[in-house]
Amino acid sequence: MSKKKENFSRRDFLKNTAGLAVIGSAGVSSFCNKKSPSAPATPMSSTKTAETKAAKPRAKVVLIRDQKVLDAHRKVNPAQLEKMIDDAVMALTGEPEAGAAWARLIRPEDTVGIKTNVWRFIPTPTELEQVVRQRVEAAGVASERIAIDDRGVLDNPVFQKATALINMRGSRTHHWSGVGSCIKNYIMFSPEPASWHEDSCANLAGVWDLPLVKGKTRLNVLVMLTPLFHGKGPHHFQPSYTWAYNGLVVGQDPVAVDATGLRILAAKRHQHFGKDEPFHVSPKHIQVAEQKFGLGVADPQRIDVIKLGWAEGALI
Amino acid sequence: MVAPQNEAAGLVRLLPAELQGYRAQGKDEFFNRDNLFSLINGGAEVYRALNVQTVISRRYAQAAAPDILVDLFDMGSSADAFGAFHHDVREAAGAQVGHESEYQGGVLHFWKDRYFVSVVTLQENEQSRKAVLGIGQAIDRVIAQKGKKPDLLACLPAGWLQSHLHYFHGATLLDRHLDLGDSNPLGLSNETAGILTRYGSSKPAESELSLLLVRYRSELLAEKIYIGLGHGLLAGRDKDGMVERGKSRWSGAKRLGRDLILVLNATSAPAGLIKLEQAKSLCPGARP
Repeated sequence: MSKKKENFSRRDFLKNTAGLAVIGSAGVSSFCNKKSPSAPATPMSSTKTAETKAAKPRAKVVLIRDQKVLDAHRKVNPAQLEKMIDDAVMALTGEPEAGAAWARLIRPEDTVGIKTNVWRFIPTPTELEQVVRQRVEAAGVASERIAIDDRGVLDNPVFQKATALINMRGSRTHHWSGVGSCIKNYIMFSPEPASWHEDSCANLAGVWDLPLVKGKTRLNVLVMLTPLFHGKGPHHFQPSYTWAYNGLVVGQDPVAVDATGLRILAAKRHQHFGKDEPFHVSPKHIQVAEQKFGLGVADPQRIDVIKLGWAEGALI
Repeated sequence: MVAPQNEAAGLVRLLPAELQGYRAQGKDEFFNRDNLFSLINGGAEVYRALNVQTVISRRYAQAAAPDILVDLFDMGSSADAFGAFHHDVREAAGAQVGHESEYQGGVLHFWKDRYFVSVVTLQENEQSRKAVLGIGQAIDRVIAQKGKKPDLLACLPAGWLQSHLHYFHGATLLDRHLDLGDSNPLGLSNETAGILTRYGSSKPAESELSLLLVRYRSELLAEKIYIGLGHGLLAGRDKDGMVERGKSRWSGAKRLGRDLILVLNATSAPAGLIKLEQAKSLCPGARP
């Protein structure tokens, strides 16, 4: 049954996310400009700061897909996944070589928390966790200053001291927030996660203002290897509502990454149900993240999507 | 995540140790209303709002086959087990497991007695589908009592959509299905019990009307809420209790003892009134 609370312009948002043509890779952001290797790349856009400017901010994300990253049983091919994340980071930074690209994100003196997601139905792939750890080490960070965690982040000494965060999780529709993606992945940094559940988790982006998090995120990876586009029951999971999309959405702006993932889920729902099928719970926290918290860009028209790899069935 | 020993033993005995080559893998996990969030990401509120007592979670595995995850919820009462099952729209076919069931795309849900059960395979194929149903049937056989549906169902006039039937106590759950505003105009709490259903089409835009029944702990409270509706949600209602809300959409209410009956989105005042009167005649409070 569709939820009727639509006071926020859910329909407008989803109309936009489902129907827009891909903008392509023409957009050039300040992030794309070469920076000193000692200066890590930071999120490229801020609505708060940009409000004073004439033009609204733009964001850039990379959508990369590989037909061979999963086998027939949906088992991950580590080598293909490794290539995907490297290619995505290179495209994002504009660096022609993976080592240099990662070095744009992580400094040797950083302490790095890799925030994953252990949801048992679509966890962050271990293979992705390991390759990202390797890349952070290769950027010069000592292994004892790197941690991978989800539900234990508040008690994890590395996360407590982290100067940099990498945010990686699977994409899915969500019982309480409409969709579960990168913005929501930081809810475990809150001592009281349930306190963010009100009004379809509209204010989730507020988590990103917590001291352990604020300003530290260098990369967001929305894993769309086997996304979940619909669900029911206690776990909101049904295998028939997943599909092998074989993709990653990668960016520095978590709002833009999530908004792009949302477009893909909305398009898949349209394809599956044969019509626009509203999310049963409005994923309005993505739009609120821009409009209220200035965390990034939610408007697909201001997100430049660089599409790499397998094109068939990309949906957007 | 440890349940009291007697509760844990009671739930463990309901689950098969092995079935069709699948064996229990790892340790069983137990949850209660306080730590259910660590099992259910996002939906724990639903089961907490329905008074969940204890949950056992078990993974089944066998070589070269997708894992199967079973969660058995002791809801404390058959009414709340019914509510847990019917929180979701149930449009798929039943699986003849438990009191009511649904199998869809690799997932079996059913309720029986005071238990609500979820059996999920990580990938659906013929082997895992059979095992999911087999595990459900094994659990079904061990639960002796069938359980009773909520009494409020007796008040529903014929023709309601079985797929769109929701049971609730507080506003948390009703709010998932119906927007009555943020002020809890029905005074819902854990001491109330309610049913929401729909008539006509399952599509909201085409739906003829929704019927909402709430049972309060006292007549006094029911009357207070009924009067309050006349100043808020149903302000301007006529002598029959009906008011036009939205273009050509009528809503209204009747109180009967400690029961409150509401129709929403009827296409005309008479259509809504008929449904109200039908429900009123069926409610136990109407009988001598």
